[in-house]
Amino acid sequence: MIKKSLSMLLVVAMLFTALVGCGKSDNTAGSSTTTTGEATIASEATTTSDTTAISDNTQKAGEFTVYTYYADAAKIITDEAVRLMKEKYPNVKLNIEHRSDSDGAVLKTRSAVGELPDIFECTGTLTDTFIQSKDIIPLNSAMEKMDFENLYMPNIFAGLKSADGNYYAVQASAPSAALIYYNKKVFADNGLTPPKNYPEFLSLVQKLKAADIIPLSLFAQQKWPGLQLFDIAVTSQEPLGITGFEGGVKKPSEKAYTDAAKKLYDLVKAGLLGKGAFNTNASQAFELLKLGKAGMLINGSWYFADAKEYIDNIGYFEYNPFADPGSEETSKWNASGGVNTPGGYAISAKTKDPEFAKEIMLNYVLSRSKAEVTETAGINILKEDVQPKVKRGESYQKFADNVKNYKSFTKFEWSLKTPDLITLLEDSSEKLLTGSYLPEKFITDLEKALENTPK
Amino acid sequence: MNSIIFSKNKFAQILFSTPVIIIYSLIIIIPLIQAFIMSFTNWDGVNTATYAGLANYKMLFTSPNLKVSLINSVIYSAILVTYQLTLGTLFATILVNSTIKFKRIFKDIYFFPVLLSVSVVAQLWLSIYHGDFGLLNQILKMLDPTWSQNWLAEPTKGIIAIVLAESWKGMGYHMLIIYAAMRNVPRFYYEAATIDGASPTQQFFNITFPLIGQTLKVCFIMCVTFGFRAFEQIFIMTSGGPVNYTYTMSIMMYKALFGLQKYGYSNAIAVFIVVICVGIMLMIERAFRNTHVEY
Repeated sequence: MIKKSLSMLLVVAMLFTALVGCGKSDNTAGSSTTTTGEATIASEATTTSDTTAISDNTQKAGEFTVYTYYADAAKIITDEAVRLMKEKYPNVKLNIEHRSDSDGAVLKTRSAVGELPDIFECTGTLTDTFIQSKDIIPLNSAMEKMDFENLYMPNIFAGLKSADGNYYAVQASAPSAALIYYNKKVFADNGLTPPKNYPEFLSLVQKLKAADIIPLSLFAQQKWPGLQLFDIAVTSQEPLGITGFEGGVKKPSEKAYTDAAKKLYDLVKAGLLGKGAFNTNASQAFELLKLGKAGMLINGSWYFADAKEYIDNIGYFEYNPFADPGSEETSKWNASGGVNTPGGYAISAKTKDPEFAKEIMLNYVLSRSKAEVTETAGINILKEDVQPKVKRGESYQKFADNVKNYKSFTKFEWSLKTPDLITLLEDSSEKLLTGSYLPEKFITDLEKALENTPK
Repeated sequence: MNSIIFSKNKFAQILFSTPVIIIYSLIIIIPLIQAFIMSFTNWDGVNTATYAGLANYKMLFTSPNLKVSLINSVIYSAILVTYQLTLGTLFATILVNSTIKFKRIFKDIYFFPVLLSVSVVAQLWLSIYHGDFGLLNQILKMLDPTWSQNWLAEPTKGIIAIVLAESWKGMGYHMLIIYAAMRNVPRFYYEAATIDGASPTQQFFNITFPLIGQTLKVCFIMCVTFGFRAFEQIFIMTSGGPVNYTYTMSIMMYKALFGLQKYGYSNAIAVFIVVICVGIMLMIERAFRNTHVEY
């Protein structure tokens, strides 16, 4: 009898909690839909009655949580953007929350419990997930009111529209490319010059290795720099780079990819990477280059801002070092990296005043664009003339001048279309970089795996 | 008296066991059931899950990472058991039996790494193992420039390097448990054995070892199952890489969840981890079933 009672109690307790759990998720979904519906109605009402109220809103009070990357060079950009916002909207308080995830795990969890921040950075495929779940709302109404696109240079927002033709997440970024940087002093001391083709690059690596200097400082604790290195190698022949695998446009067995794998493998065998590359983080890699313990570093063009303290000693390779002799000039303007990555800042469907939140978010994006120029000497993509507070370093200025000459860009890996493809390419390129995986096997395995991977 | 009342009073039984049952259900049973159910779905973590049948389990059992993860888990468990239980028992024996001064300081020193956070220990050992500027390679380079190694970036060597760091951190914990068990063995057994002429070694194997057998069993289960659910130290030191060289089942689950963003698949891995850990626990229980000794 007692056993029966206890069993019944256990079953009842389980059923009760299970039902509460199920009920909660259903309710969340339901309320999300309802809230989105309300938000849409509210935004339409505001749009109708409030079309001339943008300037009046500058005195409006409000408080918004902004979930954004708040570290390294982004910290001063964010601080300046908040200051500019305070000037324009003195009664609006922006609470900055550091974005601690790059894969959207935190945002997904917050979405599940109905606590998304008012304004948040919504990266990559997460945007599509949140559009489907109706967690984010279209931004078109506020963008049209502000004539937002027209404040920027042409094509800055190309590729940011979702499949239904709406903007759900926007960002305004200057073109960024994956570059190979070098320590000028290390090169000068060892009588080295930036390579223009692959034989020169291989010879450079061998000379640095012989001088007991780590040739390339790779922060392979993260997987993307390794993959981007492979992408650079591919772009020496094929402008599509790793983006060629999206939709199955290109196959790994094509010459550009097999050559890239072979070159990378040979470089690794020649000692391209330090023994601790796979346990090196970005800060350590930067220090290795800065101190001259390493000769080169691969990173995005945002590194110019990170390295501003010692930028005078940093140069970058203008030519693709994987180019075959004779094709230097043609491959020079095939950039690895991307211009418009999907995603950007989005508005939670549950924010209290969606139209005002949109206006605040767009102005915040605008402020960030200004701050990027003034604080980090970034490239100005606004039509308004904005001048940096400090002069750009020589190499940064050279890159800024060269940007307009690039004929093609690929993508940074986080912008690829599916997590499956990202993971596959990350893991495959990492294998290649260990030096214990033959390039032929790399190509065969990758081709086979791509057949079963959503692209 | 109280126990008689409790055994006869059904209301008291239900009253006192209900909170435990509810808490246990909420924390263990229901998440397990949910994980099991979700392991048959495709889910992105936000939108409605769709039924996927056995696809996630098929993906798991055909994954090349599974074999590596299982082998690494076995290596992890074996080294943990060898290092933590052997050294833990040895140090506990010395501390219990020796008359050296500052015994307590030694005990505290052995236990000290347990108090450190995982991230601190991981960073500490990373600075020892790092291939380019790690302490170990610096010393080896001084002896012979060709002796430096990729401690964390090669198959087998990587997982061994990590588990040694893990063992160093956790040894004091097991030592303290074993030490407490040894202290609970009544002294008169040893006095009688000494009078009978038993050597210290004989006393250890015939008195101490059998009487702390149940404690050792618990420590053994903890060490073995830990190998299959090891995560933090590995994640901080290598994230399972390079490639899958330092994968364990937990790392595989994490990568499925946050890398591939396949929540159903990661739940299938979680269920598999539970099955392995419970299976091992039952096997050990069965193996130790007849080892309970009382004098």
